[in-house]
Amino acid sequence: MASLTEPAAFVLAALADEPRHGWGITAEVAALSEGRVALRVGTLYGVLDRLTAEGLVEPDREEVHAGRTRRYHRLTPAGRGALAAEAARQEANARTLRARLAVKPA
Amino acid sequence: MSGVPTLEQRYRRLLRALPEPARSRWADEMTDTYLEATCADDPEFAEFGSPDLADRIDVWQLALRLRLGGPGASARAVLTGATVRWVALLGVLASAAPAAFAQVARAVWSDLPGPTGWQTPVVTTTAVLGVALFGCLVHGSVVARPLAGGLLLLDLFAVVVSWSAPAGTVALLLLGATAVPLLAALAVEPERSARPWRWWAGAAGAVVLVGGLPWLALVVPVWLTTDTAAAVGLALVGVVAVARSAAPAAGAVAALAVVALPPLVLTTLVGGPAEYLVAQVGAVAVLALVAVVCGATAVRAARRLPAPTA
Repeated sequence: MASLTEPAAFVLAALADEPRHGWGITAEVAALSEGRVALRVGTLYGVLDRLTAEGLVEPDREEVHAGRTRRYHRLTPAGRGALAAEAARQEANARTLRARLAVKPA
Repeated sequence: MSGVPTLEQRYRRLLRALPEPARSRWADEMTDTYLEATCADDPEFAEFGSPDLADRIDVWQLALRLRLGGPGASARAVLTGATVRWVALLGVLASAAPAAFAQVARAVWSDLPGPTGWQTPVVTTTAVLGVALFGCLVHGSVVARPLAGGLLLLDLFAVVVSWSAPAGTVALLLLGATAVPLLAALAVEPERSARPWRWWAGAAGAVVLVGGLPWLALVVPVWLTTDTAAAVGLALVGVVAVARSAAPAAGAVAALAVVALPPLVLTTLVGGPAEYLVAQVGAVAVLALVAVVCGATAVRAARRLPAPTA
């Protein structure tokens, strides 16, 4: 499987505990990344469209809030798998890099 | 409620840039997200606020990606995206092939005519960057965009520095013709071609046809200009595209023929030796025919696709 982009990985991570709506995802991604990943709204929906098309995210429920529809998104089992695979890939990379650092320079 | 648009209306107006079906699917939700993001701790902002420039650029980028067939786009947008990609690849090849050939030829035979003064480094850089851009487009490298931007600035620089009337008009029209493929290269997302070797084989053919053949005019008394050779090359691609009903390739050939026509017509009108004029008029006729036939094929294919609906 192709590796996920950083925003995509964080969107999947934001949905891992519960379904969230657009702003809920943005706020959770900002919290998870300690403010490092600030998703713009256009970027968020571009990412959500792709993840939905790939079957990693699906619509959950709709709520009406201040006269506007608020759609919630949830992680699919495939999405959970993709997030686990991405975490394993990054772990393997980190291990390789740390092992290199442990080697004394000649 | 006053006549002054509220922040919500301003966001909705901005989101009208998105094409269907994405607009119907996302606009309500995106508006809600924007308002929640901006008004959470500033209720005043809902009355007087406006989407900032970064938001606008972000939405325009999403709109462009959707119009060129990104995830969530309509079938027509996918066709448009494939066509723009072909415009970038064919157009960059058409200018890079003769430029690269000329560089090599001048390196081998130093007495060949060529650019002088400040033009020499510009022409050399353009040739090198052109070949690099073609490779990046074929192999889906993210370097394609900065390269296309650099080439665009270089072309603009050459026109501004060498500006003079009436040659300036031809230069400006030529800039239009070379700018279109570069703008296409800026617009498309990096994507590796399905069979890169085919593009390199095509590039070898273009170097021989568009690069090599016109130089024969220097040794044998035949008027074959780069324009004529490029028109013939474009027509060959067009014939294959129409025969195979390859709509993106046919559309790209038609678009490139249309942008190549104005400077070609103008240089022909300026006049020259009879044989030269025959070659130029031939090129004009070939390009016009290619534009009509390939354009019709592409339009027919686009019409067969369902219109984007909500």
